[in-house]
Amino acid sequence: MGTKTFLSHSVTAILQALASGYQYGFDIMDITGLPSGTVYPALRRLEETGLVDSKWEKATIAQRQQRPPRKYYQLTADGKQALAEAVKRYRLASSFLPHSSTAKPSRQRG
Amino acid sequence: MRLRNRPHLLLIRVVGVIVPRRLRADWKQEWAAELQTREAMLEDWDKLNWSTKLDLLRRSIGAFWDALWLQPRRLEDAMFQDLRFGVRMLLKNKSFTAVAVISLGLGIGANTAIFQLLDAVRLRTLPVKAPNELAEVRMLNMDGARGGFGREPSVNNLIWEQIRDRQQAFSGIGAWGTDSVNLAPGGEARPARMLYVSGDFFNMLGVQPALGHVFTKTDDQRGCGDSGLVISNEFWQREYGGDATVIGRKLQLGDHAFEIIGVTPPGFFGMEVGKSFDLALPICAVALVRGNNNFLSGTMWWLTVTGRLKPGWSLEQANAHTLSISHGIFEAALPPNYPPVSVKDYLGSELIAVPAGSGVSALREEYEQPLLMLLAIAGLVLLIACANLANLLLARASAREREFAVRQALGASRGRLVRQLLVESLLLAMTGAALGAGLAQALSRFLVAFLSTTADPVFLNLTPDWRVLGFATGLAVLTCLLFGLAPAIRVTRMEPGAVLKSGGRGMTAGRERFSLRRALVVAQVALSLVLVAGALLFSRSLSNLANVHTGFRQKDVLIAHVNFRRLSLPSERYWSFTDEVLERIRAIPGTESVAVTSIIPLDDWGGGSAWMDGEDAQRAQNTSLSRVGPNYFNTLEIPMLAGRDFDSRDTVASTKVAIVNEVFARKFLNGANPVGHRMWIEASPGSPNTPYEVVGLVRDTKYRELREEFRPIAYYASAQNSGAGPGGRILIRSRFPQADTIAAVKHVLEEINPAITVSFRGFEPLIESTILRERLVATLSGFFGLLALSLACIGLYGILSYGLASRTNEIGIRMALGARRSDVFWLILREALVLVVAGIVVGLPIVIASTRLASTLLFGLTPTDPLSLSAAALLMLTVSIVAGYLPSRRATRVDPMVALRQE
Repeated sequence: MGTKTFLSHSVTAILQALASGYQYGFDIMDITGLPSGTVYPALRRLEETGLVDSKWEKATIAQRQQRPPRKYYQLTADGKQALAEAVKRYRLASSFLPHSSTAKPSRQRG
Repeated sequence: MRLRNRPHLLLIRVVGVIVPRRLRADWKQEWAAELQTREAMLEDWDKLNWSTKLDLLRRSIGAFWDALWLQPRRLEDAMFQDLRFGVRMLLKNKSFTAVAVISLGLGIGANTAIFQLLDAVRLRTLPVKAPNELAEVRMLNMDGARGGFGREPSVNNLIWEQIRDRQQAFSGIGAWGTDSVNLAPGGEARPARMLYVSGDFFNMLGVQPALGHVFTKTDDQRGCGDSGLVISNEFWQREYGGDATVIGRKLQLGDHAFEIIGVTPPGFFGMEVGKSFDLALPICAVALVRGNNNFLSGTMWWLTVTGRLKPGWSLEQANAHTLSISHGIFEAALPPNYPPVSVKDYLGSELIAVPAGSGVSALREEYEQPLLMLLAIAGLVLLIACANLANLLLARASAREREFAVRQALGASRGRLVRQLLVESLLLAMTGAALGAGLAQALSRFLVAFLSTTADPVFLNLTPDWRVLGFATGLAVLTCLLFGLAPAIRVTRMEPGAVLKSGGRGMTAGRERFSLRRALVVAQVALSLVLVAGALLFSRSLSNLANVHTGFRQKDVLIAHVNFRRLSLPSERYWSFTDEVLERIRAIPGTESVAVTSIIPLDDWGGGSAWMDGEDAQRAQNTSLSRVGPNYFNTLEIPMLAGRDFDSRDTVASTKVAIVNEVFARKFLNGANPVGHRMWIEASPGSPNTPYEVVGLVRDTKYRELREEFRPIAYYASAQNSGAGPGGRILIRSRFPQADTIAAVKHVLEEINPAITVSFRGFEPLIESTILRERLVATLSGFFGLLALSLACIGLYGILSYGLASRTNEIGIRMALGARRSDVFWLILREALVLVVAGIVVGLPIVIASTRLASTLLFGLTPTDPLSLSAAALLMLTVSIVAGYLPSRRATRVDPMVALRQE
């Protein structure tokens, strides 16, 4: 990826959440505890720098649930690499962030 | 959607308004989808508890920050497109862009350069702590002051000491004065600029040393020895290469070696804007450096007093306070042997306090008015450049009419088109301003170099500050609006349908647009006329001054300032030694005449009161004074009208003699032959009332400045001066080039004694330097006049060419119907003449009204000098013919067949 961008603590947390399979903005908020005013601008910036890309959910799923399609985010290859480097820097980060093995949050009506 | 009871979804809709349109739909969908999913995961909205509702609301408020973060993208939307398109359009028309940017750059550059100078001499405050708390204590008037003057206004040392001891208004108060000192041990002098300061001076200003320490109160006591030398940062860098071990080194000044104790911070130039200093000493040390007590005894007026107001004291209170203590101060500070006739005026003098936050400046007083006027002139040039650009843009706009019509027809709003055009103008203006700002740096430095002479270097801080940058930016925006707005609005006011239907050409369309362009050219001509007339007035005034009859010959005369103090001769030997030096110089081949003088005409001056023997001393009148040696009048070729020159008969022991000029004879003796009369010169602090026998009458000469009327002058004999110093100014007239004379004089002095120091100046350049201000004004206004003239020429040419292009058909028809080539030639040229004559008619009243403002800067002609004004008008007419010739000739080349077939 050429340039080494410095990732802040909260951005690292967001990347970590994405790596763990939390793909939607609100889920990331839940798991990281960060407010929406932080998470969304961060996601837009990450998307701009190519660490993250986004896709729209299939329309059929949305229609079934009578709402607009959701946008989900995922790490790119660059994003994965940047995360690995950032985690090295914040050695503590992994201790309070979920790992990929933990269960994904339920998307069913509770 | 049930928005009414879903406040978070409503919020997304509202916030969505500020999201850039391009991204809005996606943005709204993403947020709505997330919020609805979250809602769906929870219970029915109505059943939710309020804290969950609040949480959803809080999250949706986060959307606001998200939307804000996306704002820069909005700029990308339209602005980026406009900018990209603007740059493309400007690059497409390279010659247009070049003309526009260069004329704007010149206009903005000239304005910024002059503003920068004004800023430096007038607007900036001193680079010291809280400069606005500083006030100068000065004499209300100097009527009671007698003695020698270093600067005016000023006080003498006795008055300063009394102010220091008696004042209550200032928390700190200091005095400063300047002088020059020679650093060379012998041979050609190496002058350094001295700043003498009171002990508390640096502390009062809050000036912290860059190295070592500065003076304290105890360093400045009468009779002080070596209390150390503080050097300026500039001097430290120049002479010592910024070496930190400079502290403790010694520097020889006069008979004394002073130890360097500190270096002032960079940027501190003293208290006089436009000047700088090399070395600073306590005031008491001036006696050591000069070898006499004149500067401390009250004979010399040379100190400026500056204080820092006590907290809570206003300037008005301080002023009232200094006025109230004035009487006591002058009573206590009366020098012994003060001339009795002036004692009353001295004691009645008053002290006032004035703001001193921007220091004092002779430069400011001399150049403020000319600079303001030049700024106005440069402003007019910029205005002409704007008119020119507006004209070019209007022409281009009509060429792009179809483009805009198509865009409007396709749905572009008028605002959008105006914005597009304004962005193009702004691009031009900003590029012009950037070029101008660069030019201004070079130009203002050139101006400072123009004003600097070797004897009087000008030091100004020209680093651009916020005022200068603001000024340049403001100019750019203003010019952009001036030249861009009218064409922009005009283009978008047309009917797209009509334009498209007309097929891009027509015999009648555009009449109105065309008349606006004509009006612009008329305005250009009128303004150019003002500038050209001004330039002619100023250059004629300069040539009047340069050719003014001075009464003496300055050509081929060299001034050698000789100092032999280091020889430590007894003072009785001074005159005979000087005589020896003169004799040796006289023997140099090519030398025609040599003489000493105390005063160089037009460079320095001295005066006193005189009356004729038998008259009442109370009715004494002022006369200018000079002390000269034998052959002075011969050297400067001043004709002797009666009596004799000074010669070897005149000695300290013989009767005191004087030679006077014609105005003196008229003023004091009603024009009678003064030879044989006795006159009295009023006592000065150095000498009592003295009688002189007039032995000669000489022709009038200019004394203090070229502009003055001849004034009365009395010359004394140098040989009779018992108080002379160890040196003098020697005038040498030689047939040989001055460089050769300088080398020969240096050689001769070296032979006599290597410890003699000497410095040289040509008399002619010295006199030229006295009209530097006039030369500056004439040069710059001439340059601006020329610029205005060429801009007007371009403008005129542009409109004629455009007119010709749209009239090709008409000309073709005319020629087909039998018009001759000369008819067609006149058809076009006549238009040029009509426009210029209209411009002259409009411009003349403006010229007459505006040149009156500059009348104080003129010499030897009135602001409405008919010759200058008619020459300016004639020049404008010539321009119209020059600009009109090419298009007119092109018109005669129109082939009727080709022109008509174009239909």
